[in-house]
Amino acid sequence: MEATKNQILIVGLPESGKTSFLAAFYHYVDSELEDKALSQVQYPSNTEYLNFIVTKWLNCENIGRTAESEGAYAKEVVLHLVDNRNCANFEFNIPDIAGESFVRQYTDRTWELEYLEQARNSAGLLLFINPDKIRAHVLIDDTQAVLAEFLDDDENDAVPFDVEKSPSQVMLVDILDGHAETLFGRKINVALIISAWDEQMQAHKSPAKWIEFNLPMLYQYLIANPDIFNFKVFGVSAQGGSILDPEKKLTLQQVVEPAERIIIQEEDEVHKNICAPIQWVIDQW
Amino acid sequence: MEEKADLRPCSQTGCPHGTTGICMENNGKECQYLNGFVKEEVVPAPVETSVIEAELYHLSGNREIEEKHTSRITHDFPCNLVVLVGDPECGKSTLYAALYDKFQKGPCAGYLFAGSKTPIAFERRCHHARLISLNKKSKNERTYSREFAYLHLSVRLETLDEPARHIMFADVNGEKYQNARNQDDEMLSLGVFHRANLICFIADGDLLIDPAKKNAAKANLLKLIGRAVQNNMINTAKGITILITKWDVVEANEKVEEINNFINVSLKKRFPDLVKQTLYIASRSQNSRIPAGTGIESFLDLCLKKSCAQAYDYSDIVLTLDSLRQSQKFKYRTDGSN
Repeated sequence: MEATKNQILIVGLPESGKTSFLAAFYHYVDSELEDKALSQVQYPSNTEYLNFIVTKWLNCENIGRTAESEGAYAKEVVLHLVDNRNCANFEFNIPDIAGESFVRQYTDRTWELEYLEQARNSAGLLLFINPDKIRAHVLIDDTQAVLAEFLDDDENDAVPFDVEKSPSQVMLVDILDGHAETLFGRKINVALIISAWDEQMQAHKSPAKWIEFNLPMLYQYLIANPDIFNFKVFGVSAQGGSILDPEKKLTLQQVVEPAERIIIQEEDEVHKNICAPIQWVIDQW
Repeated sequence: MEEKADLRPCSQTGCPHGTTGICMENNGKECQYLNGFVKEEVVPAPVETSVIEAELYHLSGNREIEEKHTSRITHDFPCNLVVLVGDPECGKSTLYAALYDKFQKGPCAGYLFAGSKTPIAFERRCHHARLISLNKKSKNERTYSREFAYLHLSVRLETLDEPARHIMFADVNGEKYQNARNQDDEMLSLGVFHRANLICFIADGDLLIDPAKKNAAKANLLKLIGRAVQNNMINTAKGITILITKWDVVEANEKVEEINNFINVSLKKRFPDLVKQTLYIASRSQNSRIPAGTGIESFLDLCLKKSCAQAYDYSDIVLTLDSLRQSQKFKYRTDGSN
């Protein structure tokens, strides 16, 4: 089976905002918004999972995350869409894969064969990064003056190396490197999505600058390999604000058209088209 | 009744647990490698296992690369092979780790990080210098393996003017070098010297400032170099580099000039033209005047300096068949057979 532009993979470590994005995206294509980029033309045959996550999203509730224990390795999501730019109908497959599966790609260096097939058939990746869940590499030398007195020097109390606690950017680079190895010879389109962007946009000029500043190894890896990766960085706030803040949550719940809550930033431009990362990947194909 | 010795074989390369019962990770029964092996042993279920295996696709790399597998990288990419030579805990692995750590903060010496096939191997070596380890001071992650393991790093000029460059770092327990200092046979087994583009001998700054240990430290370094020269493992054509590590400690004790003279005068006298350069390294630092990572950029420059072709000039070296066979593993295939 050849790669098709009708499939995109959602990639990201646990709790990186993948499912929230999917919920907001599904609501967007099914909403009454005018000037939508993509619209749904027909309900999928089974929308139990989509309806569940969209209901949570509409209520501004925590959607939770895709757990592997629920059975299937990935939640199949197949949408029937029309591209409003050219009125072309197409079937769009965007499986929701548990973040633990990607952690295993790093720790065990193994892929499920099903994922391998999906990767080979995909137009590209949406790589999600949640700024609140970044595990940074903090050197003792950099913190010594501040923290020395709080840390115990007893060797027996030292925490042994745990591969699952590697810095996020190391894991993300290795996950992308696995794709480069597996999809050898093919340029890989990667839309990097920084989720919960509403909390970052004041402090950072653009989503790309955020990556360069906060995940410098990942940024270097991507720009050092232009023959392998074609990438663009998007800031996405699927909820539009923090639903943990009761006041903010109430404000968000009062928005008449929930799709208006969405915040997207690409370079300097801020808009509400949550399809933008998907359209960008498709347009590269 | 006497408890039976635990001699379960370990799944990690070079671990002697299967023969000695000693865990190279010092984690005993908690060791993930040991337990990983047990899991596979205790749950044979051949049918189930084959089903699981059949559903997985195995990617290459990730942890240390064994010598027999180095060709998976070296046949595909021209690689510069770098060997750090020195006694246990002199800072070999710490230097590799510090270089990798530096890229986690940004470009280094005008180079971008372009990838690694051994991120977990680097991460393991970085761990005890990280806050997550809950150590109060940066510590070294000791290398226990008696067999060479290789770490891979790919970098590219920030200007992207040239293709990415690949470096393989050879890492081994310092006891291997202690043995090589004492016996010709052990020295001759270091075939990696013949293939290396850069050979760095390490002088431990921590020992050099200690009046009770400095003479032995210098003598041991000179003996190691001397035996390598005696066995044609190194020569003036290729040359060697001296790295004085833990430079932050030397500087803090105001012994920069003294240590410099102490080491370099003897080296020049004993091995004229052999030492091409001396670098002063502080991979980690507890000295505010010497920032952590001092000397790392110069080290990276050196790692990338020599072309691969130079590494395969054996004209004045008689190779054993074994060394020749090993050398082929590091030869980049330019004949299109990649």
